[in-house]
Amino acid sequence: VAAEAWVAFRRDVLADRGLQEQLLATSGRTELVALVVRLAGQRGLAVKPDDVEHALAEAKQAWRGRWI
Amino acid sequence: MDLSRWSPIRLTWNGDRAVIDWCHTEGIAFDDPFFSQTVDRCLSHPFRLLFRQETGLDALCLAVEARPGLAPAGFVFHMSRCGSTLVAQMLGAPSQHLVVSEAAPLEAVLGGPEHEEKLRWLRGMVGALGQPRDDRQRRLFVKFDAWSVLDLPVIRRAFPDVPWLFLYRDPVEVLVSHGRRPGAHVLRGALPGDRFASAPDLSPVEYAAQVLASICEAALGHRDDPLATFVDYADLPGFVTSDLARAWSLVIDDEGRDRMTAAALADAKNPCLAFEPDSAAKQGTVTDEIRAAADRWLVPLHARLRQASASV
Repeated sequence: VAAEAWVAFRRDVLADRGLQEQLLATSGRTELVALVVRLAGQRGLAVKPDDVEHALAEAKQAWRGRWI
Repeated sequence: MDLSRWSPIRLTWNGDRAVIDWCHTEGIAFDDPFFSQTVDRCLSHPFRLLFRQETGLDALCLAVEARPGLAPAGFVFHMSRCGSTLVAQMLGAPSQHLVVSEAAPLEAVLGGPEHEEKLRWLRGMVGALGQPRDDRQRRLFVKFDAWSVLDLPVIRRAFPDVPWLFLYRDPVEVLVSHGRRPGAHVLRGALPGDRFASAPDLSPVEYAAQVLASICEAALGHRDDPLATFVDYADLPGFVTSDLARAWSLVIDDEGRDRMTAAALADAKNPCLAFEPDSAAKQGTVTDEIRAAADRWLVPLHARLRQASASV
């Protein structure tokens, strides 16, 4: 369920310039994770900090490993 | 899908199907020596790292049809390690100019499968990468990877009115530079779909010399192109603000010229440092093998490149 919530929130963000601007205004990882959880919660999506941290780690790993 | 604040940062092929990785790049100047450095800077923000989107090339082309990027005003080709980053940094110095420098997604289009839509894809990728980074920018310059000069025919077909230059340098100095820190194109098999034929018993220096010779030959094959300019490293940086500006009909105001001159005083690949000439140091470390490889493969081409420069 958490993964579905994360996917749904991610889709919302990609479709909503306002959300993108809010998230872009964050100054670092901790602030971004907290804001994602809060904004998702406002939409009834139960995204947990671990979901976001996991997604961040995966994105970082995928980019670093793009040549492999 | 709204891609107006996004830039393609990577393109991978799955057969004939391209997958483009887009990053939110609003507020990011493309002023690093290389596009890859700009991408790394972008992805250092967790939002830009986390929220990316993927499309195919059709979506990219549609986005560019809706928002054409800046019209290309000049293309930079080069044999590598010959001052092309300096030229790119100088061209990008005026606030009206945008330079896209060795962007991997562009190389991926060029290196992709042959397809009837390839010219459209190429124009689309240049348009997507060439979106103005601020309201002042009016001209786009694209610096290609060294091996992209092999794709000059398709690039010229896609952009028949865009002038281009080819930069070259004393081949001994280029080989010395690759000997210290080899570029991907002079390492056998390092480039995707190795584009340089090679015999298995070549030494690394011989291989590098042959690759560089292929690059120079490809450029010389277009020496009669009226939109071509051949530039010797020895003529930098003055050539850019004088002859090249004239050849490319670049109107540059005093502020822009001052900024270009200032850019020329910095180390192009590490602009925090001042430029220091290194030709003498490179000539002082030439090995017999490098000298022999240069003589065999590159010195005759260097002479022809100098003739091409002189004939303009």
